[in-house]
Amino acid sequence: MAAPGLRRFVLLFAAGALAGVLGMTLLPHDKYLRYQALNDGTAPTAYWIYERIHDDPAPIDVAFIGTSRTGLSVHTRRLEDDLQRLGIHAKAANLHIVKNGVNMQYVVAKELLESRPVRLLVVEIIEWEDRKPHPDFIYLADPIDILEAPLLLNLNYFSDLARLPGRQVDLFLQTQLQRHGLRKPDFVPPPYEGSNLDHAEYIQTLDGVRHPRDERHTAEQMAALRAAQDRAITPALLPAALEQIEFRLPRTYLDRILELARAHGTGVVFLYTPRFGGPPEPPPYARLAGRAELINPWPRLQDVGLWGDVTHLNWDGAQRLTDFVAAALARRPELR
Amino acid sequence: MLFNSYAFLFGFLPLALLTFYGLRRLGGLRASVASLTLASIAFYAYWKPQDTLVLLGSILFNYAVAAAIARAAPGRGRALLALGICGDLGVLFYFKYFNFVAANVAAAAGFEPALRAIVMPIGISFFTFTQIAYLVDCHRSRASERNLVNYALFVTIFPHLIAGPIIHHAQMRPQFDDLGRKPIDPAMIQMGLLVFVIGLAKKVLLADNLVPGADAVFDAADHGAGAGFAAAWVGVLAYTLQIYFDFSGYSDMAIGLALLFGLRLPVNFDSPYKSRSIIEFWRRWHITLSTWLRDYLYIPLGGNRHGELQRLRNIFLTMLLGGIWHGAGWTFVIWGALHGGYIVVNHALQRGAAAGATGRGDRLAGPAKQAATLLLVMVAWVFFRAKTVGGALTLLQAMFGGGAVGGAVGSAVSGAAGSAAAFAPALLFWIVLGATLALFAPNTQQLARYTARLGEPLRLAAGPALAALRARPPAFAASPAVAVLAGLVFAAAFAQLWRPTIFIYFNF
Repeated sequence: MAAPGLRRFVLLFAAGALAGVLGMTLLPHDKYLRYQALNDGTAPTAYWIYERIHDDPAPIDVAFIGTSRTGLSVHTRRLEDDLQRLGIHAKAANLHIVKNGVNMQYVVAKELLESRPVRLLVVEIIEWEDRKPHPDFIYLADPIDILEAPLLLNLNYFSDLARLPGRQVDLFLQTQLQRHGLRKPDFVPPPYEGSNLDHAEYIQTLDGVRHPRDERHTAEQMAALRAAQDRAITPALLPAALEQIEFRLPRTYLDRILELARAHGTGVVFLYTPRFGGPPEPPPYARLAGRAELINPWPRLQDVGLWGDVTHLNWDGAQRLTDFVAAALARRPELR
Repeated sequence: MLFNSYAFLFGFLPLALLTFYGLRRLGGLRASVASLTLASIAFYAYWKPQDTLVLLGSILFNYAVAAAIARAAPGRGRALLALGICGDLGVLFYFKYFNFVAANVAAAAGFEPALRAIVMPIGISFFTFTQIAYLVDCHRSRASERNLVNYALFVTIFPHLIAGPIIHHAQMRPQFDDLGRKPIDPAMIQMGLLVFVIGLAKKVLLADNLVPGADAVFDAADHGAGAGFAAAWVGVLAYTLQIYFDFSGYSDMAIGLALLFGLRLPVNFDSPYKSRSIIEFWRRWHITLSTWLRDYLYIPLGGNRHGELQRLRNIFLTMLLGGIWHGAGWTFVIWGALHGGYIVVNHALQRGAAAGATGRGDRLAGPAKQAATLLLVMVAWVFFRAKTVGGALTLLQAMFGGGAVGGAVGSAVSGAAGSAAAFAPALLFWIVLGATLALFAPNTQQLARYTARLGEPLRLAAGPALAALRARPPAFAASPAVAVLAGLVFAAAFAQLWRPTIFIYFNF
């Protein structure tokens, strides 16, 4: 179809394009800018996670990774006090990032474990597996993690891949221009908020306002909220025999987290953060039993007064869960 | 679907090309033309499927009216033409101007306007003008397109469908016939790729990087913030360059895409900011609209057939209506009136100079004429871009009426807003680069040696890349270096595609 001259021209064009994309992808930048960019404008945690991991000399003995369920349920200062009372001196950090997506938890775990020693990694597990990737994976992930993300049934694979060169160029330019005083930062993080950034008791938004977490609902309201959430969750679409394919993405990343922890000599436990009225045991744990212990606070969270909404405990619930988790962690050999 | 989107570049376009050339390879030359028609309709439907009904309805209506005009007995053709034009303008009026007129009538009469929730189908101005021209041409020639597929392709061919260039049936029909008979010259595809990449770079790398500067200033002024002298000039300059690179970039992409399918579209821009008069500007800016306005509005209004005063009146009216074509709003009316006034004065000055009078315009040196022209164009762009007349006047006052260097608008540009506009040095960089290219660099058709004239060969320059670039005018050669360079530019544009922005002229 194509004349030799045209074919050569098109091939050279494609080679130039590919070289350009690769070159941009390899541009260096200050990784802290990535963690600043993941900013929902209200109460972001990513910049603090980076500061805690890289700039705070206080150890991280116990690290929690997960979603807002973990973020709003585990109060690390209370946990440290509980552990102290149980004779264990350990520093804890709640490194949650809001929204579902195990790939994001992998990114945080990787950043943490490759940067400093951690005795115990507490990984959130919930009552269902979300087959979708975290929507903000592109903000924090290393280029290699974007390239090596599972391709099959990963709805964001190509969009993340396509966005990568642009992200790299933006971050490279920001790094260079800020370094030379030619550009003001898009986001200036507040002064370091200390070794514990907890959202369980209250959420302090970027405007400095503290929002207490004392929400409560009646049983009827919670039932309605639960029904609404049920409608938002897509049940398994493929037959049971193909379950491994359908949920390949979250399972791959959980496996990667476990492998990463093993490689760094870090212990792992799963923490079940159920929703109100959820099953007594998280079904996804069936696959993982034997690979890591499950901390299951479900029996203690059946009082509707402990819940701020259908998936998040309020401060009363968070205290109860934190105390329960501290007691469970105190038995772990990694902290003894 | 935007040309500068992943869906288009990595989904629609490869699929359309594969189908088109696949069918041609299998010997289905006419089927390939039909596939292009279907692809074009799908391209339009992707945007908003229900609008396709308006587009297809318009196509069928005009096809039928044109056929009736061609068959009509002498004397009846004119009535049918009037019917067709009224039908087209009626639809356009409803979607584009109904609420504007209703609101102004209600305001004048002192009652609450009964506005409707009307969403204008994208590209309606363009496909309506294309078809009005077609009806007039049919009336003049007493002939119409008999093949509905060819007619639908003429109206919908996706590179031009949304924002032009406005095409004529007489120019496209022989090309459709050739597509159905002959193989496509590979040189067209090579050139198409290059022209498309130039257009993409203009849009994504230049125009889009000027947006924060222009938006910050105009939005602030529209919201009543006082403007500073420097900020106002920076914002207006940014918009002046943005609209040029945005629209000429779109037009280049359209021409490049058409070439990929073996078709030539008319040139729409010819380095307009190099113009040394407003008359020349309109021969270089949105050329297909200027030509349309001349052929289908100015000349029917009487042209220059009834004396100088009537001619100037017709010019003014034509430009005024051209302004209104762009949108329903007083800012567009003023923009059109300004250009109408400019051209009238320009003609008067030319006439004075020709008569040996001391025409000031004629005494100006070339660069001064160019600067004066650009200044007048920029003043008009203030009304074109501003959402309110008040906002436009605020900016003009800041530009010409003195005032603080910074001001509220200034802080928006220099970074207090904390947005993408925060980086003033970057904005200045893009302005300087854009101005240099717009004022001094050869344009796309010069670089690619593109011509829309059928029968003239389409070939990139021959020989080494550097030798071609040193030629007068400079050109891109069909060399390996140019191919790799185009690939690199495409990569740079690709990196910005994750935040695609709409083309300015998609709004019209």
